[in-house]
Amino acid sequence: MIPINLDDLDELPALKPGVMKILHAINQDDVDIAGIAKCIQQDIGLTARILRVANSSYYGFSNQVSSVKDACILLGKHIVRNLALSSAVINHLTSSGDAVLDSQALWRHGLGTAAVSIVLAKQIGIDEGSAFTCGLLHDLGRVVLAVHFPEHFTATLDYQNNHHCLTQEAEITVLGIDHCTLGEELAKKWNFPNHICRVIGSHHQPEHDHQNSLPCLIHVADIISHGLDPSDRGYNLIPPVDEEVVKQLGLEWSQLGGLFKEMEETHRSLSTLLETSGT
Amino acid sequence: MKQVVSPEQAAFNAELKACLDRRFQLLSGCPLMDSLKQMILEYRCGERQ
Repeated sequence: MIPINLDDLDELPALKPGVMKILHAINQDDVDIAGIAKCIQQDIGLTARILRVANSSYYGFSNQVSSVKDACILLGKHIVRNLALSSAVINHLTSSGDAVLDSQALWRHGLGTAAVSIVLAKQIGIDEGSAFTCGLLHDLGRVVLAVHFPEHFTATLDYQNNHHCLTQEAEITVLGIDHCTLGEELAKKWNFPNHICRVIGSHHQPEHDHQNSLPCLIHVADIISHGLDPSDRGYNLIPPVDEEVVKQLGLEWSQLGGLFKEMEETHRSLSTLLETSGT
Repeated sequence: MKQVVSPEQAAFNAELKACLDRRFQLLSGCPLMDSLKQMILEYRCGERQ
């Protein structure tokens, strides 16, 4: 066993102060779009990403958007917040750490889960923006392990392969902690909104909370995304679905197959929007 | 009328089924997961044709 202590997370670099400032500004009741636009303009990567998204066919605005302020007004504060957060985390975790072992595959799974989450959210009437962000970031703990604790990450993969067990079981046995707890703690340290912290911590065992369906939605989207991943040649076991969660969401399970094409098309669109090169 | 499947398609279908059987094996017997596996198999095989 090579345990990871939650205190080890204190040694990880913090998110850029500019990003924290944007998230803080967007979370205020009285949102100052001009102020937010100013903060965004100080981050070249985020500026490029916001403009690319605002001008993408995905949103289909008729006129070309050339200023960050206009983009913020058109996209709205929730989308800007989601983009700022996801962009910051992707940049942060792809530009730091000693190894990129499997981190690309983990991001691909995050994007796949985000795409499935958006399609399911439309079906059952949940906010698509929140579904996107939570889907993208749900495995934050695994990405952090791969990037910042590569030896620990490799040890869990070895255990998983040798014992043919689920990821969580391997992590608890080898590290004494699983990626859900690790990811939730880091998300709290980085001051992510509470609903995202909760999804990261509970996506494998969501509470049956009728007031907040997001953890349940991500639980199901994660499983579908694993199943649909065409690059997996059959060595990663699919985690089990909680039947109560499916009932609570009111999903027509037998109709899911009819949504696979839309899920994959959404995944391709998101991959283009969020690609890390050139930002 | 029974659809004729090419040898390449049959090999693809068999390989995919074996792959999904391995990945879903812990959950075999769970109706929701069996149904999900079947939907993925049909989708991927249909897409390949």
